[in-house]
Amino acid sequence: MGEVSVVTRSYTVRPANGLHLRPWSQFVKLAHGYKCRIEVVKDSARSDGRSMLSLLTLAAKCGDTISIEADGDDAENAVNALIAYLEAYEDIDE
Amino acid sequence: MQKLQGIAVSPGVAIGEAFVLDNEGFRIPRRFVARDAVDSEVERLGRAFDETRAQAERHRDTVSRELGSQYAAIFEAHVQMLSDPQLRQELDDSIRTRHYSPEYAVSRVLRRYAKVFQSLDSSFLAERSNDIVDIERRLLQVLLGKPREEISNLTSPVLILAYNLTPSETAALDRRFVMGFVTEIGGAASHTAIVAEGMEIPAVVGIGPFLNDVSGGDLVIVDGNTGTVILQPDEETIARYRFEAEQDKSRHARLEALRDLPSQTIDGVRIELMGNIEFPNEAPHCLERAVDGIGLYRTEFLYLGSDSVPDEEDHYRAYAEVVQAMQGRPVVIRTLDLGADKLVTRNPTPEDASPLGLRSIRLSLRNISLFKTQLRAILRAGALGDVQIMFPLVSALHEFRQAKMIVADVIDDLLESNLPFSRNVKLGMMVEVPSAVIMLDQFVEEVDFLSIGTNDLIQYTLAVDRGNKDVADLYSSSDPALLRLIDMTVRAAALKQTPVSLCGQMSGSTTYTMLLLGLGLRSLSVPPSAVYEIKRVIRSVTIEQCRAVAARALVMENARNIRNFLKEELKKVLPEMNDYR
Repeated sequence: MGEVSVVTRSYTVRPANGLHLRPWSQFVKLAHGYKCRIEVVKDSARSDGRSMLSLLTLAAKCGDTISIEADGDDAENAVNALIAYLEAYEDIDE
Repeated sequence: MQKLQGIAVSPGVAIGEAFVLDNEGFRIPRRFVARDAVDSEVERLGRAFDETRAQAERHRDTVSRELGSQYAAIFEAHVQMLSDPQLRQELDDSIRTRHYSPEYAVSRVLRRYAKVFQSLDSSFLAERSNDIVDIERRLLQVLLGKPREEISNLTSPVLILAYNLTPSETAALDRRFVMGFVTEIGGAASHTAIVAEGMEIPAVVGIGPFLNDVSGGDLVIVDGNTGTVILQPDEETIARYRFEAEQDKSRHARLEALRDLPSQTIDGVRIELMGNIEFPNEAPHCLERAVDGIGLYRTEFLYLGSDSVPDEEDHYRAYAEVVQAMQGRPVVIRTLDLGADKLVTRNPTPEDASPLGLRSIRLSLRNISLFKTQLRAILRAGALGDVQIMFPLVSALHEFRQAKMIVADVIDDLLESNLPFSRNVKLGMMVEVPSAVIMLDQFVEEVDFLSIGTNDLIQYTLAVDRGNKDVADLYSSSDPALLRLIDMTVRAAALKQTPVSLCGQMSGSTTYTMLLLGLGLRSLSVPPSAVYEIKRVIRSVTIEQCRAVAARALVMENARNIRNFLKEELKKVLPEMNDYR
């Protein structure tokens, strides 16, 4: 087994309401489509990228920066797809 | 260890796990599970998650179809929460390492998440704690199932601890696994007491609020001899009670030697000993003890424990089972003896539950088709053996006459059918309302037999609601007024040589046996568990002795003195006899 390379990309929360139920549930759904380990980090807090509850406890508000870390065979694709999803996400009134 | 005191209503000692029902009849989840149950509990949790997730998916799809996908987002989020691997891991861990029950684990873990959300400095997220609570509630609903199903789906022996046990709850119980009952309310004549006696398991009622101190699965001791209940007993106490339970068993074995000895007094007077039953499966218990027949077959269970009115075949199957089990011995079937509040076809009003309201024979006479259904089944069962019909709560002669006419109608109907039945079924009544005792010289002209129901006779004579703990101290089988009413009944019955028996709980208590024989009763109908003890007293006394006891008791002025006197007299005859009833 060679060195496992960790793929990391960051994202700054744009939606005024922060990241809550809707974006995270889509995020988790997407994450389930990959095999690699996926984690989301905000400051010192770290969450399983497939755990809806612990992602919510990150309390990512507008202006916060989070980073997505992944390692495993499809890590690169996973991180890119997840970041792309978040970038495209727009608030709608709930 | 915590010791509680209540009213002992059914003797014996049981040591076992608590099964706790709160006052809405919902099961309070047990907090811990046994080590060897961990795997199956984790699996049960898994199934609950699958089912709850499937529910959320159905909600999502319905809402999405009807309102649009943006509205379904909340349910999609629920689906994702229920698919959360970390949540599952946490729950599985607390079951595996801390031995939490799935219910308790779900409550704890999800409430912790809800708290975290509330503490987050985002009001938007704080609101999400409601979603967590919602998920907790859904999971618990699935885990717990319907409360009644839970009671009927017991899988291991338990002690039932409850605020109160309703007839429908006890009817739904899976009796194989119930070792004893403890209830917060109720008195000596409560439904729980009757059921426990029938099942021959210990029961303590009227213990006061205690359910908050106990959780499901806790070890509990129920001492139905003294009315003591012990929560979380220490080793020494457990050992002492195990010893006592063993002694109970050997005492019972000694009593069994009485099985084949005749039920007669020293001076050779034969006393008929019959059994009281509520469920068909109790008939073999009676036969094992060589009773002379079933003196009281309560039929209420047919109307309880199911959501529909029983049809003729339901009745017939139950009666036929008992009549056949009794192999030709008489079986006295009592018609419906419930308040209107227990009928599923009716929206109950507070008056319906009143002991003075529309109940028993009154209810049957107002619901003729319901009554006829039961009577048809009884008459048909009459073809299989010696069946007799007894009407409860008759307070005036016209009620008995009306009931008799309806029986005649039913006989006419049956003649037109090709079904086998008996047209010579004897018709009798319970003597349990003071007005019936007062007018009994008229009743004896028309009835085939009488049976004194002391439970209600005490209630109506003394104006004491037998289910009300606050007045329980006024309710007594030793009350002098009751003794006089029994005396009057026996004398009135003698006018026409009408057979008279006594089937209340009083008959099952050895304290009263000498008194009852002395008052002239020659037939007693008792819970199967009491048959041997009563027979033992019968075989140890002479009628002359009993007459002296009765004569003395009849002139005494209060219940306590009478009770003490009767206990002393019993002790003189049988010094080692312990009457727990």
